[in-house]
Amino acid sequence: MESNWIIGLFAGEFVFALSAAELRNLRWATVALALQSLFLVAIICTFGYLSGISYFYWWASVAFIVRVLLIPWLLWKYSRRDPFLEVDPFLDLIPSLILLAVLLPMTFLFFYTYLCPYFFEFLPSPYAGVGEAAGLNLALGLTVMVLGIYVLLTRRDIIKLVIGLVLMENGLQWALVSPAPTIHEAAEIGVACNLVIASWLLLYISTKIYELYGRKDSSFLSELKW
Amino acid sequence: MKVTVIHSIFPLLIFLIPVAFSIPILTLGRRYKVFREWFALAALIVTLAVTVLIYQQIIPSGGLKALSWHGWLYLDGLSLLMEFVGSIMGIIIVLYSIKYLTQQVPGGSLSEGKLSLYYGLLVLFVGVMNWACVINSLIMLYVTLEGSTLATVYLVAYDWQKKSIEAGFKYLLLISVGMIFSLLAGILLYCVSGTGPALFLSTLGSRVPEIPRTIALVCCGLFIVGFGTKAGLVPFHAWLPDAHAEAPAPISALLSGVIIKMGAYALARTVTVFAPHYREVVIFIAIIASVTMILGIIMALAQDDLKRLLAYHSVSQTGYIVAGLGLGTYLGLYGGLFHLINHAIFKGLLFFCSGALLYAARSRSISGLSSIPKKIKVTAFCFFVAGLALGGMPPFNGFMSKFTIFVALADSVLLWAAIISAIAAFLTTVCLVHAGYRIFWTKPVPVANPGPKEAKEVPPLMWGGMLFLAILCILFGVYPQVVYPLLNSAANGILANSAVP
Repeated sequence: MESNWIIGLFAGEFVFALSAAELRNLRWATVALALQSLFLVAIICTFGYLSGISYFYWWASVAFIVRVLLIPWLLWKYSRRDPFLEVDPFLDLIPSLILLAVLLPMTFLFFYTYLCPYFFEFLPSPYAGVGEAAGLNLALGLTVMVLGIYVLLTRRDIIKLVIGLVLMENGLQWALVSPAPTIHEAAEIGVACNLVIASWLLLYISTKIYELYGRKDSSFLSELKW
Repeated sequence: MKVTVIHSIFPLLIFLIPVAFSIPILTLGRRYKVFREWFALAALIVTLAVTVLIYQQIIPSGGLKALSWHGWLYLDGLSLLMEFVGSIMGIIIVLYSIKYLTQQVPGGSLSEGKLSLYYGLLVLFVGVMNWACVINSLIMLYVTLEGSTLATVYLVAYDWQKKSIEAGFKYLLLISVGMIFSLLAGILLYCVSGTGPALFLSTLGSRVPEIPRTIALVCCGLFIVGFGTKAGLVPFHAWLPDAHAEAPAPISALLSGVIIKMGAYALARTVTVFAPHYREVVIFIAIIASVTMILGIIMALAQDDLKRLLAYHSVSQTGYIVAGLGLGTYLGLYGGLFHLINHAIFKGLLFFCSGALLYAARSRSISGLSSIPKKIKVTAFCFFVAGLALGGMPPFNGFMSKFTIFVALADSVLLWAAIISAIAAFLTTVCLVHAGYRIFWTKPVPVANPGPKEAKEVPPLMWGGMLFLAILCILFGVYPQVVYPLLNSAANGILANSAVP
């Protein structure tokens, strides 16, 4: 029962991560990112419930405020002036989906096969009842992180680049769920604050780019070479 | 070697003081001039005074004493060294900026609000940097290093012109993405080394033998990507030439003299700890550092823009620092840290010279500068002193640190890396002497130039700091014992935490 619930959350998290990466409408991509973050919060809460460690709820609260509310609000606000459709990426939708269909399973299998076994033995004892689901967090989180890198490499729209950065960070948070349940609160708050400020600064710069070029296209930024 | 840890409030004060001072600068500086440059100067002088007090506590023990605040903050010789670099460079940068920036206000291009933001963020950066250098938690090290990047983005994109916006964007995005890899490494290490509230840097060395070999090597690779991006190592250096070239000259000095050193500091705290246990890590760092040295200098040779040329030299010199630190031996650490200090001095000085030339001649292109008659003897003297020091020529400070690194590399059976670094040093000298010759000694050719007809020396507030740094270049070269206690403490601090097998 618990395993089904966890697998359902994992699937939701992953589907919305993919949607945030691939939706061309920036508003919808922002909504997908918010939902992906919401699933992340649900995963953190679930593991808090299963492990009985109250720290998880604190962590989930911070993640909810920052990742579900604050960052999507910033993205929504700063995408207001632009056309809602993102600047054409380097890869069209279909080739991009085909590439991801190959890349993401391979990435997951790689992490699951070669990296996770090292960590299974170090997993904290409260997860004994959850079984392999606890170990999956690391591999799936790192796969979402790779998805974020993919977005950063293949997109030109600055709003989408910020989404890529947030996806990377969310993936890392997901990877952190199993192995580090008692990490200090200050670290979580610090990481979250950094993400908000970095996103805000990037979006602020994007408005300056919009004023100069009329679009939030990072490929215009090519005056400085060598 | 065992470090005696003493509970102290100093690790807290060293970053809270500048952070507290930055608040009135950022809020009241728009309305009251007194809360801008002079308040910033006061903040940095107080910070330096605290650093001197800490010096008196740590140095007599030869680095085998550290100050701690409830375990979360840890201040040893290496932290102290970084704090000296940050405070002293900060003071010189503020003094230099007073004339450099206010010159632009009457023209209306620089509002007083921007000035308060400039000084406020500068002091805030010093606070965050000091925080990063005393933080003991591995994950908080990422947080503070990233915080230092965020505090300086506005300073890099200060002009908000096309090029500076591009530089600021690249600076923020590339470092943020790169640094996430170091966070990942921190988390992986955290997973395999305990489930306490934090993985302390001061105890990382003692846990290295327990960490599975594959995980240790993966984490070292991720740290090199993450902190190497901050330090400007090739191939993660793409942000560096743009940010250094497009930021105002004092901020370029800050970037080159202090900010990229924070990446080197983080590498010293993490990867260096693994180096004595894993020969592969030493060799990998030697390779990446050698590539950085050579590629940086080759790119520098191709530049006509003086600031860009200096930026590529920064890339190249980072290679030396990391090569020394990556060895994990006393000699390597000593040489790497000595070069870290020296690079802050002579590269800061060179960027100040480029700013002085921009101030006096309104140009930063070498060919453009060579066409303008100049009466700037102090700037010319400083440029050549710094250039020769950067090239590693005796009797300047660069010679002492580079020679130590050559010996350390050869001593660690990495003669090929020592040879590469010697070649890079020779090319550095050629590049800078050639640039200096073209700027200061070639006969001016009258061409249509929007700048002044004759460039005159910059105000004393600007050349005073430059001359001070030039004197340090000579002093540390002729009498390197001056910095021995600090470097010895810093190197011992790292070795004590490395738990050398």
